[in-house]
Amino acid sequence: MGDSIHQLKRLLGYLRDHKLHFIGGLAIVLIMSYTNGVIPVLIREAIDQGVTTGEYRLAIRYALLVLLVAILNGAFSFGGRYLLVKAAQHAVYHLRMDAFRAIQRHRMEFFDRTYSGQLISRITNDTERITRFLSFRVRMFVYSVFLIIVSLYYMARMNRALTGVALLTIALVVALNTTYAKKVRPIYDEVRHQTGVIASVSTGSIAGVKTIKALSVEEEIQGKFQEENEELYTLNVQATKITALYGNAPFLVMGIAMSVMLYYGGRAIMGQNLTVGELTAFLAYMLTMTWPLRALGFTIGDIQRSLAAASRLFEVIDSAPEHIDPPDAVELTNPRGEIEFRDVYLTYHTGKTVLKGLNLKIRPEEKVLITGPPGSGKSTLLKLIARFYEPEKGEVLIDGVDVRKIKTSCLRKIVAYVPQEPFIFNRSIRENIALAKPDASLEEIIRAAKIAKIHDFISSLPDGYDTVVGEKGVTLSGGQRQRIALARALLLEPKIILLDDPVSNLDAKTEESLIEDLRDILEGKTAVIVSQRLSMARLVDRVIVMVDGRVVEDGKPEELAEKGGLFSEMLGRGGWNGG
Amino acid sequence: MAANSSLALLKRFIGEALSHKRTLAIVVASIVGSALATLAPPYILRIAIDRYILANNYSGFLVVALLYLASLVAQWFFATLQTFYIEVFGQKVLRDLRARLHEKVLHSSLDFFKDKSTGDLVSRIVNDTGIVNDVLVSGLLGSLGSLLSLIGIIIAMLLLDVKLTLVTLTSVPLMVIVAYYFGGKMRRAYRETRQKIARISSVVEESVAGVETIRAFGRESDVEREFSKVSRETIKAYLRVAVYMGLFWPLMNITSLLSVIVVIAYGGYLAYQGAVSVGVVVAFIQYAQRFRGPINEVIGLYDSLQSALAALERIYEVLDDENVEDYSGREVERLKGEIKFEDVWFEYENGVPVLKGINLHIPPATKVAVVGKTGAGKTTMANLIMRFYDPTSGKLRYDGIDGREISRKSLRKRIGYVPQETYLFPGTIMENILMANPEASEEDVIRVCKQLGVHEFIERLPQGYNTSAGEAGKLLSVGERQLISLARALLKDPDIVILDEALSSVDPKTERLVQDAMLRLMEGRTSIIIAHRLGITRFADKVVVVDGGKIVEEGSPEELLAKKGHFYRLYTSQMGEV
Ligand SMILES: Nc1ncnc2c1ncn2[C@@H]1O[C@H](COP(=O)(O)OP(=O)(O)O)[C@@H](O)[C@H]1O
Ligand SMILES: Nc1ncnc2c1ncn2[C@@H]1O[C@H](COP(=O)(O)OP(=O)(O)O)[C@@H](O)[C@H]1O
Ligand SMILES: [Mg+2]
Ligand SMILES: [Mg+2]
Repeated sequence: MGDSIHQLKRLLGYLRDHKLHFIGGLAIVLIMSYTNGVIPVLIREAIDQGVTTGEYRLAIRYALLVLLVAILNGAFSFGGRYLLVKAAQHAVYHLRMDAFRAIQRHRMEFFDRTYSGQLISRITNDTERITRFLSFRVRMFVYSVFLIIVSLYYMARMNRALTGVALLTIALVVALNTTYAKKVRPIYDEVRHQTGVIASVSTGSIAGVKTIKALSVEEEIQGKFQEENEELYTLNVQATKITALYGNAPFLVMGIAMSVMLYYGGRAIMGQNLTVGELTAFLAYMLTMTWPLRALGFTIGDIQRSLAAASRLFEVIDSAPEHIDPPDAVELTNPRGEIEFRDVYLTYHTGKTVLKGLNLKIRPEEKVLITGPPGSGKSTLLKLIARFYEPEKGEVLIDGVDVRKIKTSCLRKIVAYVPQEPFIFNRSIRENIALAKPDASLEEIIRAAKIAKIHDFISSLPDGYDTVVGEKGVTLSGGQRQRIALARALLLEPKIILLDDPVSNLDAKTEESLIEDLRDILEGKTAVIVSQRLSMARLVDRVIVMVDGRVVEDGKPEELAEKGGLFSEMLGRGGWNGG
Repeated sequence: MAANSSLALLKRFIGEALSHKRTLAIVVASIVGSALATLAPPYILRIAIDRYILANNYSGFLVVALLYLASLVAQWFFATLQTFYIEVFGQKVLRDLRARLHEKVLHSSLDFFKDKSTGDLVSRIVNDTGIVNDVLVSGLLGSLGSLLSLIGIIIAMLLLDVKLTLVTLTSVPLMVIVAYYFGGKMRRAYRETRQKIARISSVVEESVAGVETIRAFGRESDVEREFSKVSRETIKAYLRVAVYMGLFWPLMNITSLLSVIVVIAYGGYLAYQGAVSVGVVVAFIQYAQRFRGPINEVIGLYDSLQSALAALERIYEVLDDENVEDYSGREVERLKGEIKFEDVWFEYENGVPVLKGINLHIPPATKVAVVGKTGAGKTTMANLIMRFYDPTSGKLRYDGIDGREISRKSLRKRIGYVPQETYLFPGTIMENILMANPEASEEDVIRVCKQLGVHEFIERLPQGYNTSAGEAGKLLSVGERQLISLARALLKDPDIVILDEALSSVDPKTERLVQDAMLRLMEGRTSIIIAHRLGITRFADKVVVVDGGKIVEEGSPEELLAKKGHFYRLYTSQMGEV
């Protein structure tokens, strides 16, 4: 409970400079619920004083009064809604930005742990729920409570016994609605979750369709989908059952109450204790209260859940590191391009320990080829230099400075990293290549694309460099994605260049000319290239063979080739690339 | 959309939805019952006031009150029935639609996927079906009820008093205008907020999926700026909704009160003249307040009909697509592994041949290496062997049988294919391998992995075979994923294997070991290996060099090297001098 209040306070803190809007909005809603409560009273007066008595001028006067109040009521309703929505939207904007910034500050491990769908749901669904809470629910709460109070007041002035009936009804209906909201919400959450499951199963079926067909397991996959689909159906039916029973039950309670009112009210009128107008007003009040009562039930059922949504967002925010750079971070001007691993340990969140005390020094402007069996930690090594992961023990240094102490903006300028599976944004090829240098000229871009051996392919596309690629555009093969990413890195002219498996899908001929071009480009740079194409050895000064996170061989390519160790075993009998 | 085509669309949909007849019958009954039950209370109220309360008639008043109760209970009963069965009916239709779409996607040929994105197809399966259900099932049935009660209200009023009815109805056109004008605007504004939220979610998605690249190139601030921009646009969109809603509801309220006011004024006048009774006026006041809901609903439905029809069209577009695979044909139990390309031509796009007259004979139990430049047509040849596509002209024969006569399913069951781009499903490594062969046990998986030399790589992972692959395999190294896909293909115990650059991210030594192990396993069967690292060609009985969609050289590696042709040049350029 104390926790909830704390969270509510923190949430309200996001209102910041829109606090006045929020409070003003609530005040207007309060007035509105009063004007709304008055209308049935006026109608009653119209009937009693005008229609029943035949004083139809009076009836018309009251009728006009009803109109006036309705217009006033409309104006208040508009104002209250607008102010609250505005305040809530701005509060949620700040919250959303905080969460997004936090996500950006998070370490890579955070992304390994979390499914992207979950994060999207935090930023969209959870914030939507909070907006709804701050604008709609709060408004309905204030409005409902006050409207009920006003209605009860007027009812009590007319007839005590009937008011008692009304009070009892209200209590019952609120209880019913609260139970309803509490019961149905978790199922709706499950429905939402299950819909996500359906979406992700479908995504798998579509993305992996070639694999499914090759394995000839269409039936099994369809069977799995059917299971999830049936589950979604069952959940939906369950939710419907609750909606039908609990959602409609208040109507039954109200119906009974109204019948009781009619009977006793009728008797009271016959006994001259009540007027027809008053009875009509009672019945009208009951009808008017139906929706506020429902809203009240939902609001009560929703408070806990909205706060839960807020706390999920707070968790994303709080678990992120405060700053990406420590306060004493430095800029490296004129980097030499020296890289050093000093007794580095690294364990992924899955428990896989990849590096156990790695020591390695790469001299400025040295070109290094790293090779080794799958899972030996080659990609991990590059990611450590680019500071995607941080060692749990030991240090990774550039020019003798711990990478954790280098300003991120500076590190990104010094180091260009081409991941093994690069990400291509859903934009034009041109924008994709010019990612780090948005003001690059087309000539520069073409030059980089030519070196990366992707220019010919791009020119063969009808829209050339303006072709949109990615999810909604032309889909690229893995090799093409890699070469676009290579062009991206080449455009940047960094001091250190890290390439992860850049030529795995290149044919021998293209590879040959790429190596020639790279030789010039890499002049004066430090380059660490992970590759299983040992022909890349012709490009480098030094080869490192990794096994199980350790450097097992290290030396000049020719030396290692002769040495009779793992590298020469890889090479096999004949020249580069084994036989 | 032309009117008649949307009508045809609707007709077809309704025809298909009618399959759940029993549920639908209950729905219709409850709608009619509900509409009738809504009308009764004001009518009974009027009788109670006029004949009993004002007439001071004690006897029988209890009966009338009980009647009133009964009508309200009936209203509740039918409403409950209606809520439940409409939704159940809708969910049934929805479930069937989703299942049909998913099955269709699985049975489509690869041509089908050429111009469609994954996200778009998923959205058709999940979102479009949802819209169709909301509007065409729940919406249509719901507003049928509304329409009925609207008609009922008017009839009941006419029965009470014609003049007063006409006067009361004057506000209806006004209400329709307000509902129509603002309803449309509101829904459009609302749709815009949905679009903005979708934008937010795609920005988040991109910034999560591309986080490595964004960080590597220092694009964080740009992404943040973009996020802030779409978030601000969302605020604007929501404020617009707030404005329209803020105008709409009070206006509906006022127009609806207008009816009441007219009834009071005119009814008051008539009552004063003695033309109508007070009870009638009271009943009219009650009726007048009941127009609002039904009118709103019917107009809302009309407005969302367009988007529902668009969704329906997108669904049928998938269901009707003719690029489906035909699974009929001869079942083959086992293949000897002979494959013959007979003057095979193939084009993906009309008029652009990719394979140009391929003639190739792969005798049973041979090991073939296919090499050639990127884009030469190697993968296309594998695609044809797998019957993902059939040749535009020419024939592929398996053990002498024309491929077109063999059922695709049974053919694929006999071929182990590891595509260029490996795909792992979310789940454990064990689940991923096991899916290849529903009859295999976990022991079989371990045995195959051991035989291939993949076992130790898997054992090195923290939970061994139970290690989770993560979304699309992101928790594993690329080389590990390739080894797992290979094991998966071999678990089928196939008669032919095809590796399409399947071990490109595995080091040459491991590749050699794994490949040798595979070839030993495949002894007496056929293996086709496509690769760029030419070192591996030495094991092959036959090397095929493809260039520009043609076979330019073919023979044993020694022969080809001696010949000093294409293969020799490729080989020496990569491997140095022999
Ligand atoms: N993000 C991750 N989370 C958990 N485990 C990982 C992750 N990335 C890689 N691994 C594991 O760490 C080991 C080393 O991976 P990696 O450096 O990618 O190998 P490679 O040498 O093939 O590039 C592998 O066993 C892999 O399964
Ligand atoms: N689905 C497709 N639709 C249209 N063209 C394609 C498709 N797949 C491949 N191609 C084209 O066919 C040619 C041969 O491609 P492919 O067989 O994949 O070559 P390889 O595997 O030898 O690199 C290329 O020019 C490629 O652009
Ligand atoms: Mg790797
Ligand atoms: Mg290929």
